[in-house]
Amino acid sequence: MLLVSYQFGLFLLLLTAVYYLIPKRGQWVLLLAASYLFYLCGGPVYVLYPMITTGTTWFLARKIGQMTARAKQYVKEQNFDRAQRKAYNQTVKKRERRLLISGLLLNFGILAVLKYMNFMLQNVNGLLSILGVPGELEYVGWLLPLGISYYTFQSMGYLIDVYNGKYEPERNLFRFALFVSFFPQLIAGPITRFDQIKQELFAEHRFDARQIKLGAERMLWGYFKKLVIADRLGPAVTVIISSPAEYNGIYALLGMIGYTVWMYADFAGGIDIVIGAAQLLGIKLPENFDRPFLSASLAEFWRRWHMTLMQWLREYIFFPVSTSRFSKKVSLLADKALGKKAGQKAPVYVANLTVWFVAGIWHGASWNFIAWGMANCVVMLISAELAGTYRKYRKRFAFTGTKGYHCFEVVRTFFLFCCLEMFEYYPFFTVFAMVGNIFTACRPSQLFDGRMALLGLGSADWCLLLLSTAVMALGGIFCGKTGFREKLDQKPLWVQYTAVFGLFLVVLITGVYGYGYDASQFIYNQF
Amino acid sequence: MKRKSWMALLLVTVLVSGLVIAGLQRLLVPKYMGQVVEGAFIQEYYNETTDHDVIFLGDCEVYENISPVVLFREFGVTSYIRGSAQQLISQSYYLLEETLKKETPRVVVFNVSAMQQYEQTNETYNRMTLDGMRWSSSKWNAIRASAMEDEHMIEYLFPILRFHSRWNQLEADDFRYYFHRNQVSHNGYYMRADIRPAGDFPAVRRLADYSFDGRAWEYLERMRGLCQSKGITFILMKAPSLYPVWHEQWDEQIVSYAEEHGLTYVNCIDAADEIGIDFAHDTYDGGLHMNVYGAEKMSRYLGPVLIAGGAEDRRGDGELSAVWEKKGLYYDNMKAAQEEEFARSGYLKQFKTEE
Repeated sequence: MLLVSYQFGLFLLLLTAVYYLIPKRGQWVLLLAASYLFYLCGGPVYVLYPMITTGTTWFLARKIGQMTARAKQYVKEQNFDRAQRKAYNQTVKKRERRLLISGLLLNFGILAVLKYMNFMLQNVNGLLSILGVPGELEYVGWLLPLGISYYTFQSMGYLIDVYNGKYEPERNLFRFALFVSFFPQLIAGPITRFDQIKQELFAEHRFDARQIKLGAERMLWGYFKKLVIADRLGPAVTVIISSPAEYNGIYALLGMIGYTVWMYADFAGGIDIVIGAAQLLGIKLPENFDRPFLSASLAEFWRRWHMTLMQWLREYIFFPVSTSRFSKKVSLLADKALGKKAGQKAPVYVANLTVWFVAGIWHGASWNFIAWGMANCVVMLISAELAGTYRKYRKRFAFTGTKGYHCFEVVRTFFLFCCLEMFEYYPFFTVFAMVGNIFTACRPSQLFDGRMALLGLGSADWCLLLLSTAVMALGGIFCGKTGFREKLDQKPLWVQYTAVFGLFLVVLITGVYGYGYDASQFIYNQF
Repeated sequence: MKRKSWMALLLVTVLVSGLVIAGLQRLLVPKYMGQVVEGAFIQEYYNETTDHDVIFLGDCEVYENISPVVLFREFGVTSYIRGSAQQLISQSYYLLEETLKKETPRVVVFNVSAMQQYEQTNETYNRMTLDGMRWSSSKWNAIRASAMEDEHMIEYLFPILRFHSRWNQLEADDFRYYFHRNQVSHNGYYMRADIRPAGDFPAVRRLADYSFDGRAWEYLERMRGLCQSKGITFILMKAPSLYPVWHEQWDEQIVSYAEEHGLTYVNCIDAADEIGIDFAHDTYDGGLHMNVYGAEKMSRYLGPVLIAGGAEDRRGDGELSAVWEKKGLYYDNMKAAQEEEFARSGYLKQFKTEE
């Protein structure tokens, strides 16, 4: 069931009605049933994978929790001295680690096999071909369960948290199952932490007209981004980026900006729909975007774009890797070979490389995404290395504190992000060629040489795209962190009605949906 | 605000929103008043003020090949064609079911060309037939029976969901015919007075299997059953189109079905000479469909068949004659106008892009 389908609308409408009619203590049970029904719509096989992840994670977390509790009790009873207590705790931790690793291996293993098997086979075949070995391994046609990366990351985060003793494991398997499979976030995130969301999921929610209104408005805003902007722009951008030889010069620039706008509108639109749908049910999900295109640097950008994934990577990859034994060894080696400073920085480099490799491969099973991740990593590390120089430069030149300079930084970051995104859709060396091409062969007259007509959009569509993208951007710039809905909520009723109904009509009429429209998945659904 | 005031406000809001959406929907749905008028035929039936002795059902092979005005003028037979472009047999069945709720004709004639294709291949044709139907259980079932994979019932309930994308294709006609529509058919007949002689057709392709789809047989059987239950004579016909080809093997199946159930089957391809069809003059699209001259010949040929089937000569009925006189006048005027235009220009401006 797609978020942009009539079935989803009907499903959500019925669910919301029943949700507020049944006794409140049964609300979470209904959500669980609805989530599994949602999953079942994709086919019965799809339910199996989240069930395996749910069952194994819950069981292992419970085991870890029980071992920790028993160990605490035992230590208390035995009156160990400090050394004995430490030794005993280490033994227990070792056993717990075994459970943790088995859980991680199993669930990340499922993810790796289902999502990356063909990528691995492709590389093996490539290697065999280079070595002159005849024949090739056959590709597999396994179906990828909906949102497998999201629920796997979320579940494994939970297992690690329990192992680290951040919170107690959930006793009730079904409550945990809801945490893993809560249907709105199943499709495109946000990735949540158990301690962060459990209160929301299992609390009793009273019907609140204001929340319903705000939720519906948020969904409408998401549909605006997805149907009016992303799905209109997507096919045109695809034509541009899939033919770099034909669409170069100003088209490469257009494709570069268009791809970023398309991806943002698609992903942020999906997240708006998800958060709005959850809000209809009284559940507040964490935000995934904080107006990323207002960032003044790439590091800031990645704190404001896909925030929950970046938090996950920071918490469960960056910190453990940077403090791992391996990083320490690398640090020692660097210390010896390159000096003390390099030794200090080595763990950060190792952790960053790991994070961006995982971020790359998470986004897609291809070398393009790995290159994209590594490119981001390189830029981030160079920026970090140059941080001291920046500081001096800022101190020396007063204009760097002006609003104008800040605007320059924002625009620079936007274009830097756009350039890095090119690694996702162009072959590695083509990226450099196309960036060069943009600087050397970009002429506005190219827009009128007939190639524009082949992009499948009429002049009315382009005007609409420009206008709606401006609305989306201005909405982010001028409404601040509180958002448009909260501001609108304080206006007179007729103003609220006119604004919301106006937006509804824009989506209803100019949205790309209905017969003949290929109900494409959200770009981030495939992850 | 008091509860009553809230309710009133909500009601007004819903009403205003509904009106605005309905207004936009009316603007965005195709009007079928320009070059493609076939989408308006089904709806025009509801403007009829009198009953009919004969109902024709089928696709373009009925609405382009039979002239109800000639049938009345020359035989006194009142008739209506409930046909639309590529109308499926399931749609014909539900149109018959709907028609029989309103009136009970003496004869129902079904053109069998629809037997060869049970499933729709182009959504546009579905919309032309189904959008024109008034809401009833028949329409609901017709949609369910014939909707293509990507079609949704909700898009029929709220056509704005289907036609919203026309926002950037709106033409003057969409505004001109916002409040009213012109009559474009003559009791379901699509008049063309231009001439384009039959030419060459692609070579006939042999089929692996000539049997009709079981579901097509099922609907044919249901149509026959419906007619039988109401005491209506059910006649099968095949219009004299040269292309697409009507295979002999198909014809044999229909002949056998007609014999089995004691039905009259009129194969006008075989009877083309008897009818007097001149494919150099009586077709407007190279032999696929008849023009008005061919349709008039067809009607003269079918008249006695319909009378034999139970249709009566109603020319003695003053009230009916007055109604049909008006229809005849409209028919004659359109025919004369088209003839004059074709003689002058060699084509009909309204359908120029077909050339």
